[in-house]
Order: sequence, then C-alpha cells, then structure tokens
Amino acid sequence: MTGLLLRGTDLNGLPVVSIGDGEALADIKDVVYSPDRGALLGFTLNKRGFLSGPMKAVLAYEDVAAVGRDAVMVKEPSAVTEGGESLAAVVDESAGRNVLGDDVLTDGGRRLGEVVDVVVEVSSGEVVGYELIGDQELQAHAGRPLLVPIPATLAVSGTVLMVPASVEPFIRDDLTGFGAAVDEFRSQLPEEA
Amino acid sequence: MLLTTTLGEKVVSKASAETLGSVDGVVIDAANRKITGLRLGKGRKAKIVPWDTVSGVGTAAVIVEEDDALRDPADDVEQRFASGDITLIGGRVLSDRGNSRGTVADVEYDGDTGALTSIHTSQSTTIDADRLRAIGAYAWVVTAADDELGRAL
Repeated sequence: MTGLLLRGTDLNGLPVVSIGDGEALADIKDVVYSPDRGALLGFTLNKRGFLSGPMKAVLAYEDVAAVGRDAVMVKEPSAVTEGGESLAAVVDESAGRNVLGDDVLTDGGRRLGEVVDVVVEVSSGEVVGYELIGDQELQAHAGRPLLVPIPATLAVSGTVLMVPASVEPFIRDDLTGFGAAVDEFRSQLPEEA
Repeated sequence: MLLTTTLGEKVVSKASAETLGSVDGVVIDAANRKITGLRLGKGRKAKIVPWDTVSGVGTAAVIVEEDDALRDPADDVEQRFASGDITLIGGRVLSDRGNSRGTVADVEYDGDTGALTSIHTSQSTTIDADRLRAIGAYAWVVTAADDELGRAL
C-alpha cells in the first residue's frame, strides 16, 4: 500500500473541484462503499453554500481524477451527473446496508469490535481496512479506535463482517504504518483459488 | 514584474497624459499562462484594457497608447474575471491531486508579453507557471509535484 490512506469519513464534506476550470461543483455528502467488492463505488453529494442540501447527482469513482487531503478532483464539470443507473441503484441498495455499526468477527469466532470507519487507499478506491471500536480486551489504548486490515475479499452478511483470525497481529492504532500492515497481512494469507 | 506591484497602479494615457483609472485586477488566460488584460473597476462598471493596447508596465504606472483603450468585458474569460468571483492574491491553490498548496501570495510575469513566469504561494514555495491548469472561483489548479501522494491522472 504505497498510496495515500484516508478514513472514509475524512472525505465527507470535501469539495468536488473541476481541474478544467477551477470551480467547486459540490461537496461530498457520503462515500458509497460495496463491502462485496471491497471498493468505493462513488460519492453522494451536497450542494455548496447557501443552497446546501442533498443533490440528486452522484459521482462515480471511475469519474474521479484524484482524491487528496483537501479536495476530490474531477477532470470536467460533466463528471458530476445524474449518475449511471448502476451507481444510483447501488446507492439505494447500500442505504439499507451501512457497514458502520456492523460487528467484525474472526473465523476463529472472536468478536473484534464494531465498525466506525473504513480505510481507503485513494488511488484505487480500494477499502483496505476497517476502523473499529474494539472489544475491551483488544482496546489497548482507551478511546483510540483500532485499525484492522481486511482481505481483498471477505464474507459479508447483513450485520456481520467475517475476517481471518490471522489478522490479529496486524491490528494497528495509527494510519502511519497501516499500509505495511495490510501488505504483510495479505501476503501471509493462503492463495485464493 | 510582480502582480502585487501592478495592482493598484495608475493607468495613464500616453496620448493625453490623463489618468484613466487604476488597476483593480487582471484577466488571465490560464490555458496559455498569460495576462490578456487589465481590469479597472468592479462588477458592472468593470472595464478591460486589452494587453495589446498596453505600451508599458512600470513600477509607478501602466502606460496605454490612447484614452480609448478601455472597453467593456467581451468574452467569457473577461466576464469571469470582471465579475470579481475570482480571487487573485489570496486565491486558494490546489494541486490536481486534491491537496492544498496554500494561497497565491504573488504572481511573477513578463512585463512586455504578459506571459506568467511563476506563482508564489503562502507556503513560501514557487510554482512554475507551466504547471498552472485552471483558475476558477474556487481555486487555482496546478499540476501536482511528482512525489505528491494521491491518485495520478
């Protein structure tokens, strides 16, 4: 994970700026994430300024030119559209399937905690980990959430995310070095068929 | 020449030695990295002095050939800069990878051609003008540094 890692909620409220003309088109309302695919699908948007409020338009991740600390960049204003039907459908579907608040269980049967955020590698849009409010014995530092690497694919039900028990040594409490932890964790997983 | 020096200077006609006004802003063609005009006044009263009618930019005044050098804003670019929506000094600088580079502290340009040379930022960095991609109401967009994190285009 050599790219920039950000928390999903860090993106909320960032402006969407067109590289072509330097105008801000919207603000990010929320990230749309597919746990099945392990990736961000795009963003829902708010209007900017005095007229702020939800926009019908959505921004698909494939139309994003760059995600930085201070803005989400698109090439041209046309990237913010009424959205492909596919993304609109996923937005509706995902509304009933928010991963925030889901329990994370290991395949050894241990509960690690509850999801409070996702960690995104912004160049690919891949979600590489979850931030948890951990169970008491896991939560070494009070009040500091735990960062748990996730495999490229994982089993998801309505309210439970299943991760391999071998993840436990790779749990971190800081984004610095978390990319390396993700790489190490994934490299020791058995090859998927 | 520095933009902060030019802003506020008197605009004087060579033909009559009359002062026509003072420089309140400039019009910048971001695609060609060039100042294409000077703006006198604001909003609906804004007038444009096209760069090709400027005969000299000094440290005390801008000299134009004739008294009738002033005209109304014409194309889209001039309208945008005339409306006052675009912040020159103090405008936000954003890389095309979505990272803040501070604000515009000054702009260096060629006093003869109007060609931009570099942008000085509030972070005490100098950005070559050939990295400029767009100037809008939200930000000046510049090409990211090679080692800057974020998603490449």
